[in-house]
Amino acid sequence: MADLPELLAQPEVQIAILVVAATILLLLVLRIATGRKRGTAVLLVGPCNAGKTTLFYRLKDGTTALGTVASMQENDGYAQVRNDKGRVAGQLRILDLPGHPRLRSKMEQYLKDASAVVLVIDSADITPNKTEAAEDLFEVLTHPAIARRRVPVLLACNKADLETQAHSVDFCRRTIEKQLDAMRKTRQALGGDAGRALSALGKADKPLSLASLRSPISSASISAEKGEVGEVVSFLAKLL
Amino acid sequence: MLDFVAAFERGGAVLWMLQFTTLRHSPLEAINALIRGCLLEERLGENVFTFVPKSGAPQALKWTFHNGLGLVFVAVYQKTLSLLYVDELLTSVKDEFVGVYKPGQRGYKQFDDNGGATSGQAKKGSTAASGNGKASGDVDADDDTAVGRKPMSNGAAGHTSEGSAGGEDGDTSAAEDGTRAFDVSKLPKGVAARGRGARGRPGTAPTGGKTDTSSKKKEDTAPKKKARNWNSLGLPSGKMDAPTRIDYTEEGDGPNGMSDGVSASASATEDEGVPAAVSRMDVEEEDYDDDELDEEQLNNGAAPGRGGAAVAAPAKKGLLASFVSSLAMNVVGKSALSRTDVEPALAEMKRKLMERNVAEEIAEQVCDSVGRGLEGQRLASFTGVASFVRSAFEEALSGILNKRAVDVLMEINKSQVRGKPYVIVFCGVNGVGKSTNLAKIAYWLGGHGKKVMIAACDTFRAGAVEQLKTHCAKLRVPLYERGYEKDPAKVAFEAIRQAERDGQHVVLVDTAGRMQDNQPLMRALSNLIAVNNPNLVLFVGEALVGNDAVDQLTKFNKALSDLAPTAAVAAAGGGPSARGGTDGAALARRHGGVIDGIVLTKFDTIDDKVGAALSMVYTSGAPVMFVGCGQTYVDLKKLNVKSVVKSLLK
Ligand SMILES: Nc1nc2c(ncn2[C@@H]2O[C@H](COP(=O)(O)OP(=O)(O)OP(=O)(O)O)[C@@H](O)[C@H]2O)c(=O)[nH]1
Ligand SMILES: [Mg+2]
Repeated sequence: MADLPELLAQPEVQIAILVVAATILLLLVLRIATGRKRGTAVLLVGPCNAGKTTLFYRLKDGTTALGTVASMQENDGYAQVRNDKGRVAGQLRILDLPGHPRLRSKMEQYLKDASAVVLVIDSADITPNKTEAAEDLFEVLTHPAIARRRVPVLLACNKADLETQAHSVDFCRRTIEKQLDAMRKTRQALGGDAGRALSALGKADKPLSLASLRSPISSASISAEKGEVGEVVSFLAKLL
Repeated sequence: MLDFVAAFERGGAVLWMLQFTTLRHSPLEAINALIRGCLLEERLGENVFTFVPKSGAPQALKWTFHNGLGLVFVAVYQKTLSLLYVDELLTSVKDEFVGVYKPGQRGYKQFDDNGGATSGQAKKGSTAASGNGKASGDVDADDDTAVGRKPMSNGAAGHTSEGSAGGEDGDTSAAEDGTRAFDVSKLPKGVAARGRGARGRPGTAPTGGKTDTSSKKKEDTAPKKKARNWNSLGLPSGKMDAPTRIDYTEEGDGPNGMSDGVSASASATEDEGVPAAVSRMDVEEEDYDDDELDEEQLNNGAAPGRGGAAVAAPAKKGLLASFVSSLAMNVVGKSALSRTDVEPALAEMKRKLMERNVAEEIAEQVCDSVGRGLEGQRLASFTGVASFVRSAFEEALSGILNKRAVDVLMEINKSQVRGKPYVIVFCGVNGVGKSTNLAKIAYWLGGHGKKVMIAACDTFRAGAVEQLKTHCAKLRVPLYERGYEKDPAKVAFEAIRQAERDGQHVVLVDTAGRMQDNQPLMRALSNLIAVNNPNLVLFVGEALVGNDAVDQLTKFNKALSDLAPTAAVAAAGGGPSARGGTDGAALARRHGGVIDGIVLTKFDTIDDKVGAALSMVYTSGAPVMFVGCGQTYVDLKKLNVKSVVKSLLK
């Protein structure tokens, strides 16, 4: 391996390398051109500390091991999806995005390629986090690619195991719906956002209703830590 | 004493943790605070982070990265102790852990069971540090086993033993590692004494006993809920409403070409009735997509030599040679980046940032921080160092500038429901355009159907009240004034009461400009804020400012939190919802600051020297909420982070 530079200096080798590189490039271009249609990954989004990473490892490995700290980076992996008979029906790529506001700008680029979105919220801490949660949902729903492809969204109300503190799914859903409605108004007042599909949120003069939006929005009560994630799994199973 | 050592992935998964003491709060809380308050803020240059738990003593955190594998190692100890071995301990934990690390694997139980020297020595370190040992003498034996098992951690073990050598024993273990030993005599008296006292007699608490504790740690640390509010930027507020773009479209049909300064804008208003034009805040930006395109082109262009060549090579034969060399560099000889590899690129970036008017110390800190993040990373194929560094900067800078800001209109709606006026206080140094921009904001709010009242609390500078009067007449909004000579805090108080009676939605409080070093005036301002508990405190700063930006903001923030009467300090420090009484109105005050947002003025005069935006946001941790960019009422915009980043790196 010591004479690598000399080897590389020979024209035959150079040409060979060139051909290989050109092929790889071509393949990459082809993949990008074709693979964009349906979306390839399920995104886990939501405010900080909602339990996205916990859910990610629950789905991927079935355990949450030592626990998690705030994410500084996305987690990327494949989850085996079991059908209701407990047999592996296939696998899906899942992407856990950090909830920290500074890293949220990454969401935009992943949404282009999403096959489904799971919005994880902390049902015990919904009130202080509702603005962030609604913002995330706003960003998801008004993303042109999401609106166009009618990407399904699951509102996963996590930490249901904290029985006394956790709010019901219904309450969470209504809270976010209300917040989203208020937000839509002020957002329009601020001049709208270029490149956003505000029409995806329905007619501006009617109160917003999550049930009647273009993307189907379902909700679920889960506990990522205790492993009660059946509703997420069946949501995923429908994507296969 | 050392509280715990942990290893986790950047993605958030904790891989390994060894705890030495029982804590009342979850140990993960401290790490979360570190991540949110420091690691994500491009403040990697600081090498100790302090975490103050809700109950208990402050903890100090030190950390080290393995950027190649995306791992972070943290050691946590009581702040009051100055532990000298922490840095080395971390390095040796890192070295050892990297040896056993497998991507995808979680849980490294075996690492603390038979992990050999490091954990053993870590335990010992903590045992020693806790200083409750009595019997000595078996120091050497202990050291030997540690060293024998894993020579790698020699350095750190050496320390411990050196400590004991410096102590009363004076045994021989110091000689064994003399070169790396600390000179105890050089330390400040107290520390040295403590070090000696603590380390002089290690080996008492048997290491075996400690292992038990550490395996029990799981129960102790079962993450508790509620453990999460501290720095969590609990700001349930609107990042998306954060001003994120600037609009360069010439919209303003108001009179242009006025002379500079405050008086000019006053006269600007005279020429128009209540203007019919839309504030530029509300105009959509058109060049959104172009932006992205440009950026890509720029990126490619900016990758000199290798990166650029790699793309162009298939087409042009003449570039074959450089293409091959790029292959050799990037594919064949791809190795982890070292500090020296990136140093020239960092220096270049620093120069560039300073050229764009970023304050020197900020440029320095950001470069240092990005540099640390780059060390050990591998170049992606077909990228040169320069473009790699550039994209790291792009990410870092937009991270800094993309701050969550309150959605003012939404907050006002909320206050409205409660029947209380929403109070915004404007502060800043002299002559930055406070009143002018206050008027612009009043105009913008008025455009959205908010009833605005202006309170003239600049009872200091002659002519200030008259200036506001002109604005108010133009805007047809009520002015509350009590002339000069009055205590501004009182004027504001009365104004708010008046506004509440009249059913106004918003009160904009104008204050006197003051230099950041003027103690009496600063005290008056903090008093005003303490008394009136505004929903939003905006700092108005000129985009022209250079190095002074840092000083201004630091001192304002500090003065406002330090000088305030104690009750107010408690309120300001008491969590996100303390001030203003609204949930989410106030942002988390990471650096103990009080300023919620920045109004950047005279943005039209600075061309591409947009550095002040970065300096101000980095220093204060507050977002730029409004940008003033001209003389007329409509010249108010949101900050376009993308284009600012682009200008900074151009
Ligand atoms: N009680 C309970 N706690 C949970 C549950 N899921 C997650 N948690 C806890 O919530 C905290 C945050 O979980 P993470 O998965 O790290 O949250 P995240 O959404 O990834 O947060 P970011 O990475 O900061 O965006 C951890 O302390 C978890 O132990 C749950 O179902 N029940
Ligand atoms: Mg996470």
